[in-house]
Amino acid sequence: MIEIKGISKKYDDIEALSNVSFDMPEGQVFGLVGTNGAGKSTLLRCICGVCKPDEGEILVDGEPVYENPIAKSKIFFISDDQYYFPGSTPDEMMNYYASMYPASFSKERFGRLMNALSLDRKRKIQTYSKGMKKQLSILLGIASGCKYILCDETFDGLDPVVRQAVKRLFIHDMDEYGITPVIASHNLRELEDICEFVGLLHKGGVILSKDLGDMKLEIFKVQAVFKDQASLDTVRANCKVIAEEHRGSLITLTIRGLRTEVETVITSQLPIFYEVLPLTLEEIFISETEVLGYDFAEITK
Amino acid sequence: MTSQKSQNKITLLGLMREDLKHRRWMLVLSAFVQLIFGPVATLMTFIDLEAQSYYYYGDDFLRNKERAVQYAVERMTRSYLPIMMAFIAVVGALIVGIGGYRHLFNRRMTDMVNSVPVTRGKQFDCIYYNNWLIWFVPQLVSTILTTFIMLIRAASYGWAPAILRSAFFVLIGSALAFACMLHLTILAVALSGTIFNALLNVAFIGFDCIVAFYILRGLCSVCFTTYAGLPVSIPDICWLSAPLSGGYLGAIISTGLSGNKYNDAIQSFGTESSFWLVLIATIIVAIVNLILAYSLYTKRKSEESENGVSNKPYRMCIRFFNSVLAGLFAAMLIEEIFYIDEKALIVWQFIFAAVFCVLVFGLIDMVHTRSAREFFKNWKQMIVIVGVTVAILVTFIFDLTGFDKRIVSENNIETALIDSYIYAMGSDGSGYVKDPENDGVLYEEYMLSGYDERASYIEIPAEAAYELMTAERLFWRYGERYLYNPLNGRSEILPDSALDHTTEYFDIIIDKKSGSEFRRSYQIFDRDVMADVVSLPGFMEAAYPFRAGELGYPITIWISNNGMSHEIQIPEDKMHDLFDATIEDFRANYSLDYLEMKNSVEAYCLECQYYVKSPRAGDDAYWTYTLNLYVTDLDVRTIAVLEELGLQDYKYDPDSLNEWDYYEYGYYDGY
Repeated sequence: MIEIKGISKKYDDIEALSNVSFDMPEGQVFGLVGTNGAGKSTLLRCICGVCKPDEGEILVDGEPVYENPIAKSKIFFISDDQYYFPGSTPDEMMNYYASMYPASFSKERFGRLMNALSLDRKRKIQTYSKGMKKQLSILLGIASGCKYILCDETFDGLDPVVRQAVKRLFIHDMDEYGITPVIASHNLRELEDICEFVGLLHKGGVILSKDLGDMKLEIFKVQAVFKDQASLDTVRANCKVIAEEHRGSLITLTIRGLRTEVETVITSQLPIFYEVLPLTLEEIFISETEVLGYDFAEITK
Repeated sequence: MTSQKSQNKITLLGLMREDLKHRRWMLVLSAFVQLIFGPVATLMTFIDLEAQSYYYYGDDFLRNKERAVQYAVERMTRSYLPIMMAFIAVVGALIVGIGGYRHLFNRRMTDMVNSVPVTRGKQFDCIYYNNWLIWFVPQLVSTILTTFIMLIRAASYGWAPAILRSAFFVLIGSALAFACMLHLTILAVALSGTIFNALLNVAFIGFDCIVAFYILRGLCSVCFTTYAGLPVSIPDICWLSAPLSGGYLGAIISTGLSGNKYNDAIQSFGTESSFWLVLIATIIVAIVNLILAYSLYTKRKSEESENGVSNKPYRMCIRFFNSVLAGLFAAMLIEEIFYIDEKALIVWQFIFAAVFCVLVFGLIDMVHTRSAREFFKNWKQMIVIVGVTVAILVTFIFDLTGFDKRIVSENNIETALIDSYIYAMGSDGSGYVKDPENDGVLYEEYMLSGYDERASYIEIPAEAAYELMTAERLFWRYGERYLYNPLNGRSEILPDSALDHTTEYFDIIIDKKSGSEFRRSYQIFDRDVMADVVSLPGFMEAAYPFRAGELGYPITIWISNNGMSHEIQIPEDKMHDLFDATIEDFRANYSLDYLEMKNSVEAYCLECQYYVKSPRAGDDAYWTYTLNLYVTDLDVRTIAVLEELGLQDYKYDPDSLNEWDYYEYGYYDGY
């Protein structure tokens, strides 16, 4: 498990992370989502030991990670723009990482995966397309045999087929080898397919960090038509309504709470029509950040 | 998954091998350069000198060859290899130092390097050792091959011990040069986020002290009318500059420290013991640089990459120091390039100093932060530093320290030495001194610059020194000539009409009983004081140490006439006659008036070229020197010889001389 305990990080006067604390359980895909500039990349760079937090600490399986080769040997960091040595080929990068992860790196597996994705191992990486470079970085991470694979915007630039293949690969390796992919992304639909646990960052702080299933059980979208305004006011008063939208008489409410309790309140008002719908991760993200004032509704005014 | 046991498999050697794979080009470049400038150049030198061996001893083939081999060995071991290998080491250290830690200049590469399970300390060590390997292995191979070539060619003449010794010291000397520069470069790199900033930092850390020394020296000479040099030599402060000290000391060590022509370089440190002190200081500086570099590297934040310079205390020191230097330099520059009224010049000096100070301060901030907006960000500091620069300038320009007025009390004088400029016969106006190691041979002072400069000074009694210091003297200020009386501290403008006699410069060095040294240069106005000094017992013998028959082997004579020189070939015995006659005239007429006649434009110059044995130890070559003999009407013996040779027509015609001729031939010292 990766434990993040109250870390803060500043770049000069800019506060990238502020007292961030949560755990990343192992054996599950952890999705790290957040607004632009929320500190996702900084958090990943701190987790893999590239950056040292100004405050707090990060433990990987109980050991601090910064300047600790034992803890770092369990982590592979795939950055959003992976570095490759100038003029190098995939095989040369494979050899580099094989020498850095000597016990766990599998050259044989790397070769198989390269073949599976039809990537030429002898071709210079600088001639690869952006997507191919992304694929290569993922394959290097997978072949490293590390327990924790930290992926920063990894799915960006991959075509849908490869995205699915990578997802399958992650799920396979979780079952087979017990790896824990940590995926930072803006593409919440992609994450929703694969992530079981989600951490939501905004302005350097954690809004929430939960099992995605649990998260969906605690927030709903209710579409309803009430008889009168008093009924709506009663619902507002008895439920934690975090967003509200009116289209004619149809009212859409985003409500936080247990589904049974919410339904009890709504049915007690005898609505003409009501339906409880689950929220997508993207809707949850928008709702949660809107509450914190991350809203650009004024942009069209 | 990995375990602690498996992690330990990442050995330092494994890391070094991996690092070397990505720096093969450096190894190839190092090998290529060192082989070309080592064994290949050595072989070419031997072939070239052997091919020209017929110059030495006519048809005696064996003697010619031995002489050629000797020259080749001497050239390679005493000058070429020591200097070239130290130079390659310095340049190589700069390249591998920056190239090895290049990941610090690229954020993506930094992320990659810092994300793998290797500590920063181990990364540093791995790259550091590889830097040495990249330079040292080709250097070792080059030295072995060079030595082998020299041994094959020269061992049979008994040169093997000297060659082997040279090879050993070349390795040691180059290693010192390499270490000095490498550690400086790594320190600069550890402080920088871009290559440009790294190079700038190498320049700042490596040369700032030397630049400061030169600017201090320049300011003293521009602002103080009695300035006569600082009591430190350039080599004394070389150890503060890694590129200079590394290369300089490395080249000296490479020659084996003794028994060769670099002896005089060692002695330029003052004494051999001070050479060792400077060497030890240089090694300590190199070690401190390495420790600092290691510490900065291991504590360095990844986000510093591509960031210019992030270390704020360092940034502040650099911009403060360099902006002050720039301001002072600008003030000196204006003095050199503007020919305007002195009062106006001082105003411009302050303006330019302030402008340069602000410019350099802002530019350094811009470069360090990689943002043009940062130019005026630290404007308060900028104001402070302009104030500091102006304060320093005021101190110098208006002599607030009382440099020019200071004198040493008579009872505080331990020893006093003076150097007179009244009449010197060297080709560049310098005097002649006797080489203490080659008694009987005279050399121009500047040819012996490696020796103790005090050798050209003459010791005088404390009373005479005090008399000189307190004598009325001249100085220029705001375009006016002032007469200054040190005893009452009063100065007054001296019009041209009041200047009824020539004045002369005297440099003085006083070792005080309190231990420090006092150096000044005085333009003495008081003729009685000057006459007293030149007539001191033993002064003439010490100041003009030549005797008949001591001036080496004459070659030819040039007679200068009105800016033109005419070469006259005269027989060797007549040249000796001329020298001897001149010397006899000199000794017979010696007085202040006579010296000044010699120094005036009315004298005409006999520019005599002659051979002397090289003053360099171990060098048996003969060097060509020039002796300028100025002939006056009092030199009747000289004129007699000249007339005998039919050369009397070459006298100067003073009326046809223009101002430039005064300076060039007359040593017109200016009123």
